[in-house]
Amino acid sequence: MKKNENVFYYITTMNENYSHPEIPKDKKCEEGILKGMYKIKEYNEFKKTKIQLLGSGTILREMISAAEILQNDYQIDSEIWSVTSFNELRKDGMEVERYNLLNPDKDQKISYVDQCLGKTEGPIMAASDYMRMHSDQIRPYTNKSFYSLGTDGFGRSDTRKKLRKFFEVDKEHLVAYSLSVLAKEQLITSKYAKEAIKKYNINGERPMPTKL
Amino acid sequence: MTEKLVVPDIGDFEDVEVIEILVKEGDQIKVNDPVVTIESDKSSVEIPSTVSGKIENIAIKVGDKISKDDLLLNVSSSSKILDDKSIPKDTESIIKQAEAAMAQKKEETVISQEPVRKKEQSIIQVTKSGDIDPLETQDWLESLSAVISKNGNQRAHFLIKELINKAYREGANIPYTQNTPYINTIPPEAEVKSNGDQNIERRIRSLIRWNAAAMVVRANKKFPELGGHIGTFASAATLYDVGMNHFWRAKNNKFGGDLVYFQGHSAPGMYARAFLEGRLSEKQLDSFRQEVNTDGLSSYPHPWLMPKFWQFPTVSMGLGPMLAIYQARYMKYLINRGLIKDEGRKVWAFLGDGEMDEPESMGAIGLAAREKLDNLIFVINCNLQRLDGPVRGNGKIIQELEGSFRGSGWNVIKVIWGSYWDSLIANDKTGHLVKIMNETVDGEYQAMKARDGAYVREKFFGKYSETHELVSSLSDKDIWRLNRGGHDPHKVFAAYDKASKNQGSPTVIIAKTIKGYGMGKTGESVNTTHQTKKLDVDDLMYYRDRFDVPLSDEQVRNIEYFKPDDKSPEIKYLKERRLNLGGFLPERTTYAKPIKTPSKDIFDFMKVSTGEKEMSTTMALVRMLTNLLRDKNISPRLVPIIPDEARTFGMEGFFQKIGIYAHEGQKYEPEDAAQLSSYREDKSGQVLEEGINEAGAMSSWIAAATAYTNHDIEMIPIYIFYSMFGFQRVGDLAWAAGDSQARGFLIGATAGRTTLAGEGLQHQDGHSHLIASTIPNCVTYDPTFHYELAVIFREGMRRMHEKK
Repeated sequence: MKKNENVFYYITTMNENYSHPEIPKDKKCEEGILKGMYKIKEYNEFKKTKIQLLGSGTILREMISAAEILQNDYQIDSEIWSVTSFNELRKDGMEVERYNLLNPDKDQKISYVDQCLGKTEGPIMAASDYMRMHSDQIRPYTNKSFYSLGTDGFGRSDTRKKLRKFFEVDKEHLVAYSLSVLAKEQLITSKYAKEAIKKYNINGERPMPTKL
Repeated sequence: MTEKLVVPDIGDFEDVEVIEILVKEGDQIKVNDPVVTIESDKSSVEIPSTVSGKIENIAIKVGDKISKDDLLLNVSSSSKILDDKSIPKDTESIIKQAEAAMAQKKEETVISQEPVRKKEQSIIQVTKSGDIDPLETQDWLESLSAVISKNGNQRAHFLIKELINKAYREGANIPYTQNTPYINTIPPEAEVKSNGDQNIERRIRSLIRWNAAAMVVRANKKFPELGGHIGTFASAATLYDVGMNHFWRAKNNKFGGDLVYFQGHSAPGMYARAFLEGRLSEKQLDSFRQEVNTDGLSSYPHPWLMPKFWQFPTVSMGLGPMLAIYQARYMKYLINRGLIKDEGRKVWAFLGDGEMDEPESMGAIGLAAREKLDNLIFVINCNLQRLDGPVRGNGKIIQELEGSFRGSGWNVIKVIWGSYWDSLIANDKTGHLVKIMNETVDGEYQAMKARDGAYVREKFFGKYSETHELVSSLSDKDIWRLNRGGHDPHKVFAAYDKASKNQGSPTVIIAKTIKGYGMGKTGESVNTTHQTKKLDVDDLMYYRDRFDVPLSDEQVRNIEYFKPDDKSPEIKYLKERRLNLGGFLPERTTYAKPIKTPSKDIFDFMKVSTGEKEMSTTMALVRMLTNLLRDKNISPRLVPIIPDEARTFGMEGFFQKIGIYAHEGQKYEPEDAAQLSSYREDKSGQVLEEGINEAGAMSSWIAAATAYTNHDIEMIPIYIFYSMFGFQRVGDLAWAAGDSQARGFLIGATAGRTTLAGEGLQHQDGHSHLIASTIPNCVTYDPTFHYELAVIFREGMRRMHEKK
């Protein structure tokens, strides 16, 4: 008999009210939830430009809204991943990388992050309601371009909508950042990003929220 | 006859949605059976039936919005059932309390009838400065002595209390001091004597002392970087040995075992004893602080590194005392909930006087007294020194601690002076000796023990001609031999005996010792004792001679361990004592049975869409817990722990359903008694409502999360807190939880820097996951949707608590 594991769980829960969908039919979904990420949605209509969008906690919902705007207004396809645990993904990534480096002559293992993202199209953009360092944790475990957004800086009291705008993790910023990332990767021209930045009243000269 | 069941007072809510109907027409129901679950956007609660009988019809359906007084069910009940109605809980508890109070009164009467103890001599206090009429003072004191010899201490105490009360009422606002004179609490004639063989116990203790010092010195001879401490155990050896030989009962198949929190820095002493017991090998002693490649011994008590030996991580200063208090409280919780038997088990915690400066050390002593934790005994080893210098050079740590603990309601036992002092104190007719004892500060006490008998004669006894005279017949050597209480096995035994029998309050034993006891000029009572890890050959020879360790000079030079033959009287005695007390200590084992797998539907309801209905993940969690509470295997094992935020998290429904743990039950009718979620406290309540106290809540969680080893019962603790006030606030306890191999759930609610909207800078958490990730055995998730939460929680239960 395997012994009970000596681990303990830390789970964050939120107080924002929203409706919850049913669990995706995909059999691998539960496994993904436990390993740290699974694909929750995909926009695939235009088949020109694609981006991988990773969201965690409540910011996943902003990411889903942003993907919809990207599809409808900019003809950008995307795959949206619900990241339930950047920490668990990092643990797996560390372990796999370590094994591969110490066993150069053996079959190289593939980290779960890479299993999910390695063969996908387009750069990766991740966002959470935590510091960028939180999502940055999985950056070493994929060879793809990776961008992180997060809530670095002191919090302050206001509405959720305004706070997400302040920390640049609301759907509007996510759209603008996505377009900019795609331009930087030379997948689209930079005019879309410029347009979106203007449309959403984003000030590029604004100081970093950590300084405010 | 038909009775109507209507919606009770549900507080400030109106038009609350019915989300579940738990009964159907034709069902037989009893009072308190849950009937429907209702849910507002903030909270989900079950409505219990207030009537018994058969359900005729149900007037509502899922999705209906209901308010107070709306009809829920019609129930047909026979008058017989009505007669059968049990006495309401409150009335029952009122009767119980009344009975208990009467029993208590009886006990009190018995105590006051205790035979009067004749006291041969009483100490007469010396004239104090500020005494305007010494003759009058003398009159009062003589009257008091007369009362004591005629009617006993109880009567004297009563009169003094009445005098103070009278003075207070007359406007003399001078509080009664919490302090007693600087002498032992237990007078020599009241000491209970040990039945142990003192000579053999001294020999065993000396061997343990020697081997403990030798392992530290040997390790540092090999690798000077390893470090270690000799001085702490040297000062505490007697305190530990008396417990090991006479008091601490181990866990076995007949008894749950006492739980002993050993002081972190005294770990070498525990290893040295286990070596004599045959539980550790010489090779292992030689691997002290060398754990990487060998079967080494950890620097301090770490269950993670020595999972079959250490039970409690204590070395992070201040956590030991707090964890011990909450452990004792949790033990009472398990007993009061009927989950374990009341076997009179004790929690002992060994602390250092320097450690008491950590706010955590004293932070929970009020709770220990309030909860009447008479299963808890603190032993504070007051060697008067911390790392850099004296703990209270200009004051007296023992007196300070006495005042704080007594003021908080603890039973205080001071063990200051050893037996050699008894006759001197008895002959101190003028009271000058006690006066000097009271006046001398710790800095002087420490300095004296770093010198010699002549110095003590001059600096201590020389202060008054009366005391100088008192020791005139003693040689300097005799004066030097005047020992401290914590090194006297007789005094320590008497204190432990009294502490073990104390009822109704926790006990603290404050024992005065010498840091580096027996280490000679290099290490005894000097400011650098704590760091001492090397002893030169002369020091070692001195140490051997001081404790009569049977080693040759050559063996001392080689720093050899000494272990007598298994058939020697010492080893036989040592093992026999432990056998009588049920086994060896410390030892970490677990015989807890895993929990039965909960039914699948408990989680399945969270895998379907909520449709239009909006809810938070906190709410989803509370619904899931409400469902788990309906599973008869899981329900009793859940330990919800909340630091005064139940309403914020929508958990107030738990108050009525499973009750708030309160060792005294509920002595009042709560303000909201008529409401569904009223504040219900109960002796067998399940919720640990800790108040605004995250450190305490976390300590409770650790006690519950390690119950599988400390009480052999698998529990599922769920501590729910503002995520910002979790790891950031109690990070060191979370680290200790990892070391302790805790199993359970920590829920960081109202999480997310932009999601907890209005609260601002101090409340909005954008990093708790990063702090959590520093703990290797902590598994973390930040789910978005209810089904994610269900899958994660289900798997957590499977990994930690269920049968594989």
